[in-house]
Amino acid sequence: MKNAHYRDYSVDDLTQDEHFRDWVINRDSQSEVFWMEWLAENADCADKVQLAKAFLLALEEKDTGLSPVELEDIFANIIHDSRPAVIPFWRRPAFRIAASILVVLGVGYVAFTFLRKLDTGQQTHPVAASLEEISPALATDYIEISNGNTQPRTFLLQDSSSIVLYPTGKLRYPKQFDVNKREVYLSGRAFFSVKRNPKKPFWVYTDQISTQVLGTSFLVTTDANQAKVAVHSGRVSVYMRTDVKRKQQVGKHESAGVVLTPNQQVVFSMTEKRLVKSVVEQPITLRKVPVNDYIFDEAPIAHVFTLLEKTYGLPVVYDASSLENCYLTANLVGESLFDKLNLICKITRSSYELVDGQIVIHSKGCENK
Amino acid sequence: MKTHAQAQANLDILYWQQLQGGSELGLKKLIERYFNALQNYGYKFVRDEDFVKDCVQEVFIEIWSRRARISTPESVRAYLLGSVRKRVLREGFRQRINRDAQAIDLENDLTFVEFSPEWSVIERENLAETTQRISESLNQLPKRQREVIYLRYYQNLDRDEIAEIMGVNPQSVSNLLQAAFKTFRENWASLFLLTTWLGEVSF
Repeated sequence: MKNAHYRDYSVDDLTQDEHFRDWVINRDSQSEVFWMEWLAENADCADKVQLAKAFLLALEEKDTGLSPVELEDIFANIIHDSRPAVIPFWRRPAFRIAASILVVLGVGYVAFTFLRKLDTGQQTHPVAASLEEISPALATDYIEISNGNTQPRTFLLQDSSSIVLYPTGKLRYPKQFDVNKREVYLSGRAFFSVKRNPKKPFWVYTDQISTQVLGTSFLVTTDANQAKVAVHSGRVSVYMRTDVKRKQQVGKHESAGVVLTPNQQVVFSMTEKRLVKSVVEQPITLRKVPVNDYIFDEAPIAHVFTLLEKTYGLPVVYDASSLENCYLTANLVGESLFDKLNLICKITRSSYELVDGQIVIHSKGCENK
Repeated sequence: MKTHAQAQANLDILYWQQLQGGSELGLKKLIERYFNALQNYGYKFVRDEDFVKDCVQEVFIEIWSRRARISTPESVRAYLLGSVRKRVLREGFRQRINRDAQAIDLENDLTFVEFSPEWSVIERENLAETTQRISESLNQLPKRQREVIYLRYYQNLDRDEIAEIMGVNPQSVSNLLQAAFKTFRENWASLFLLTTWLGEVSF
């Protein structure tokens, strides 16, 4: 080892030489002795040795090395601590506060939009259409159930559809369903799990909107100011009552309905007399996704969005070319959809909005060179 | 030199396989070999020794608790460095979310920091001036070039290993290194000798 071949070494060679590195990087005392002796014998090489050493030290800049004793401690820790108690960041106070602020802002925004609509809408209150016009069966030979309790009550209909009726809710249905459709009338709030029967569509009428389904589950809420349908599974069509009436009169098959898929909802506001489609407040996962799928490691952003679409059934709309260079490294396991979106947007310097029951991503791109 | 490195790499694989089989000795050897180097690397991203130390520990904890299911990497050292890089960036980023909900820019805020050698170590060795000049020149390089130089020289890794760690293709590593040396030559008129020595880079 003490031979002269080091004389021919370049700075580059020296920095890669294990013996040299033992001296400079590992602070090995034996190596130090060797190099000191070698330098004494080869004084003309001092410049290049100094340079190689300075180069490595400049890169190291700080000796973060731990002594063997400290490493021994760390080894013991690792063995004993194989289940580390790391607080997930979404459980940490700061994140919770941030999330609360977002929720407050979100609620504020929704309230603001509605108030604005109230201001601008100056049409008269829609006339509550009489039930006879819609369905004679519901006006004559019907059963009406109501819930005066404080707890939701579950009812089973003759077609084995089940209905969870919330307090103060009222549901009216014919003693015998029609041959080609099942019709019920609701006021208040109820969750429907409709038995699938394509030959007999299921209709839920409320004062303002009519909801048609083949077989799905969804929540209908009505009150004095608005009516809302939120879809849990399957596909639901929602129409304004006025349109249904017109359709029946004209006999046309097309009407201005809104089709909803899971995690979407539609709100009918009395003042605006319009159906507004949006995303439900708390989207649920529609299918079990393996937990690890939400741990991303330099994942292309398109892949992340595809996974979100699959998980929540909501379309994610984005400009693929501007997000081409976006990669995501994050652990989103256990986050709600909106928390996931907030994080993704922060990381990729983008923003999202909910338009028409879709998630629309706006981004300036992720160029980081 | 190459054979020495190869022997070390083979030894790593051996320790790794012992670890997979549940041998604490294998784990211990890898910690002894790499803990310090991994810390030094992590410190390049986040200037917080305790934080980086925790990150490196967590990397080992994860490996140890998943030992039965993990596969053997081609280069253990590159795998470890890559894992530390990811964890430090990810955890550092999370900390930052907590501290400061605004202005989050992972790539630009938490990347390879500038070199600032500890003078106390170097001064007595009469190397201070050279070291300072070198670090100044290095700091003029773009972050990724700086990182490639660091991995190439301080961690003594080859091109494919660097590519794996940084998540880029090997050609990009060569390009980054070439670009770094080009800038070096322009900046280092005063250290002409060094550039000629370093100029013989073969990659």
